[in-house]
Amino acid sequence: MTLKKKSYLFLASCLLSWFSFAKSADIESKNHQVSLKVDSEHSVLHADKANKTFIKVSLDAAVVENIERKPLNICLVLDKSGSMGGDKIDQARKAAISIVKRLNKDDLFSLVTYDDHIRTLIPAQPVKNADHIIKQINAIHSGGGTALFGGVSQGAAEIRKFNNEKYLNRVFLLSDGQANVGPSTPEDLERLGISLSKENIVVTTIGLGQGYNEDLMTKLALATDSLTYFVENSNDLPRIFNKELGDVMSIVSSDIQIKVELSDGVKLIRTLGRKGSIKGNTLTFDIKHLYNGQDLFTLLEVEVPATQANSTRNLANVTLTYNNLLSQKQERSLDNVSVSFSHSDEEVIASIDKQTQSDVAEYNNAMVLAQNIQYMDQGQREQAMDNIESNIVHLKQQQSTYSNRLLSVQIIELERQRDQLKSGSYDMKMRKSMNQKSFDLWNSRKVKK
Amino acid sequence: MEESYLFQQEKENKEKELQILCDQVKLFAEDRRSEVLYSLEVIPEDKLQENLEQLEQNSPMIRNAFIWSAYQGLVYPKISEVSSDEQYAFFKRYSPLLEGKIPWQKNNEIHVEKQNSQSDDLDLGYENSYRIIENTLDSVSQNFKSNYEFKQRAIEQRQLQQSRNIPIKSGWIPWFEGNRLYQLIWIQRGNLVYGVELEQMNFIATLISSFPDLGPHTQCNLVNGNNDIYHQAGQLENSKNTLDYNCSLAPALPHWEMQFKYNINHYNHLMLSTYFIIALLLIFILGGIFLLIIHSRKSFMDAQQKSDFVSNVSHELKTPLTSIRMYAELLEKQNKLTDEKKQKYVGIIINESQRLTRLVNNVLNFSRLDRGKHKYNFQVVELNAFIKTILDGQQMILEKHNIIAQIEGPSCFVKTDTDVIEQILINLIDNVCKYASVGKTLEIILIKQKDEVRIKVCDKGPGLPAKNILKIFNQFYQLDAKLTNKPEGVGLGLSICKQLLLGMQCDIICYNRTDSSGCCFEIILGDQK
Repeated sequence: MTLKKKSYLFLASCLLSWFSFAKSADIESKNHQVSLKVDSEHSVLHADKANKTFIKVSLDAAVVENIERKPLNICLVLDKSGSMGGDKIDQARKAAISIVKRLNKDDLFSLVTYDDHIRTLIPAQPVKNADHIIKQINAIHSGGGTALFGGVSQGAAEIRKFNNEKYLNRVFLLSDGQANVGPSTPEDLERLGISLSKENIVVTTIGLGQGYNEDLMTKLALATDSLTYFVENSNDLPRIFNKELGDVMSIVSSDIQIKVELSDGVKLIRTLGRKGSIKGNTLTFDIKHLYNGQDLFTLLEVEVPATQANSTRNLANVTLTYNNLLSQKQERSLDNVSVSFSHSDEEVIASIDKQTQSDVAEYNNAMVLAQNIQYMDQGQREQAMDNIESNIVHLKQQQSTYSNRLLSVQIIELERQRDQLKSGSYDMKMRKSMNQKSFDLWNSRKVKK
Repeated sequence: MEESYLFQQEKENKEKELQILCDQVKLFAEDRRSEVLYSLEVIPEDKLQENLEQLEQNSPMIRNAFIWSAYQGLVYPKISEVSSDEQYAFFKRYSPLLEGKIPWQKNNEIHVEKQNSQSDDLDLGYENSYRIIENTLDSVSQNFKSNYEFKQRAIEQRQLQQSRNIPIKSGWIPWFEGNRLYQLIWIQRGNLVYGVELEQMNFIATLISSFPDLGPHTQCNLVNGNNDIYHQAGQLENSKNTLDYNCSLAPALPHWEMQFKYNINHYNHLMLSTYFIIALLLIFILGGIFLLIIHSRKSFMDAQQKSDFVSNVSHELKTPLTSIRMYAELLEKQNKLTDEKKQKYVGIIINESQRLTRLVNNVLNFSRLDRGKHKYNFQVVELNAFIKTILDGQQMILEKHNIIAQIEGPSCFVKTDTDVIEQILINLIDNVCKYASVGKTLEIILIKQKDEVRIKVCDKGPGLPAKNILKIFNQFYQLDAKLTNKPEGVGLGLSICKQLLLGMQCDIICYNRTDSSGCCFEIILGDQK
């Protein structure tokens, strides 16, 4: 009975794979907008014992010249609390105006300000009368508390008015202070982010000065698959806003989904970078957008069961689907990764993928930083130092074993962190820059320009 | 007394208003839950897990989904080493329920305080029976969108279940962990209980963005049991004399409250309206006084003018009468008078009696015009020649004042009342003799235009003071005695001229010459049809 069932399944999977291969071949000829590549840290593993290794799934968006971008639905949510007074609010206004000036009449723009109260200064509307909008922006003055949660809620409500296929959504949240009206824990904002993400509402968070809550801003941005920025000097605001707007303008594909189906016996230990959702032996990663020419990868640590020498084993089949915004079509591609097994240590060592190893180290560094923030928050400077030190030792070991020069970049980075920790006092500015560094490493978003 | 009654009344009204706002928020909460409940009810039994996973992944309103069996405990999500942190936290949060320690049972009361004091720090709410849910279905406020199609499908599903005799129960549990509210919505089909946990932050976010409008002078804090402010709306214009009103959002949102602060502007209104009325009264009184003064001044002036008129008329009548009487007596008593002298005296008597006739005619005309009873007698006339004859008739008086008269302009035929024209011209010539004899000139110019003929009568006298030009055609108006060396007449002449002309749709205007050498009167004659 079970045998029969299995044979049916086999037949079905054969059919399916034929189908998908036929389809992928069809797409192959058309040149993918996003190419998929799956590698493993080692292509040869130790035979006859369980191995741990990393699978790296990389996406590479091609550089397209002169893209015709999709209309945007942009909402600025600006903190106008008392602490924003003076130069900060000036620069925020400047940043907002520069955004309005770059949008065209097909784009939508809205602006919400918050202090104790939330005000929709400019309801979502096409940017037809830019002068009028700019006039209203210029009338913003600071004063009051910080109802950050309400501000984001209202911003999302403005986006929701035109939340459809036609537009790319984006909320820019600017804050310089601790949220003190409305739900204000990082977890609350993370949950808000998760629910907004389900509606395709993406929130980019920009923290200004040293008084804001970076954990909250980071979690909110991460939950919507977006970025957070620590802006120390308000003069940088217009630049950051424009950089982020430029990125949004160069989005070329959306609703990217990576499905990693682990082969029988291959067990998932952890993922680095993106959190996936797990169902059975399939891991799914959802990515909101890819920018023109963006590289992106995610890492999975797996345990491979003991296998005989000189045999090969498929580790995972990976399916990539995404919406090509230029051709308005859904595209799909497949790849897999397999390893062979050997008794020879040299062979195993020689099979290392140096880039992947270095990528793993980079993620590790991000985690070390995140852990250290927690240690330092609790005043455990020694544990933090130990943490860095032991990771440096580990990396140096790896470097000599695999003679991987790429690792030296990561070692230098850790040493720099250590020196900073040793000499500097742990203040808000340092915490913020550590957080930002960790975030940047974790969300390495490299764009070929 | 009255004030405090009004105040009470105002306060009660305001509180009713605020209570409505509270009810709106409660309805919002109930509506959101109903919406989720419908989406759960329509799930077909054989695709339960698949559908729930879909909801969990795609619905922003839903945080976690679950399936629980009376025999197996939690069926979905399976708690294992690959469970996400979120799934594990979910399991931990509801473990008393999911481990079967608390039944999914009907419990109409909420024992929040009692349950909170327990070590588990949880609050198990009540379960809605089937009928109560039905009620909420119908009571969903029209302010909030409700999906009719969804509702219909839910009802069908329910009927299907009932026909198969599978008992359906459903409810929601306000669950408190660490004093925070979590909302669990569940449906029981036989031994299976499934449902979802609401995404509380989405709930609050959408509540904030659709928060009811508070209106003026009202502020509201939305708070939970710990007095954490979830939302602040509205602004008070002044923080003095504020009143408080709190309303509980239980049972829709247990322990949550809306805390209002508001100003009653009733006093202000009263004060304002009082001030307003006083101001209005003052304006009326002052206005009345002003009108009275104007009126009495006018009557005074009228009386003054009339008495002037009477004395003028008496004087004017008396002067020729005196002359006539004097020369008549001379003729009677003095027999030795030469013929020449007799002739002269008779001439004077005739002249003076003519003057008297003119005067009486003026007064009569005036009273006729005043009553609108003047009769016009139109005939076609050649003006140039007609005016020349008038000038000839006035030659004597003109010579007496050393005034040389001349007439210019084309010959023009016009249909008009010649008596009126004659009377006006004589009046004007008379005025020139009286007031402008120093100029020694009288020019009459005829101007022919398309539809009208203008007769300009100009002198080279002292001109008219600017402020008097407008009044010159008024009844009883005379130039100040200081400006005229010899006040004569009764102040009716020009007024009568004007009235006569207006009566036949013509007009007369007056202006000083631009080179300030005397003034001109201009008679504008339209052709009479």
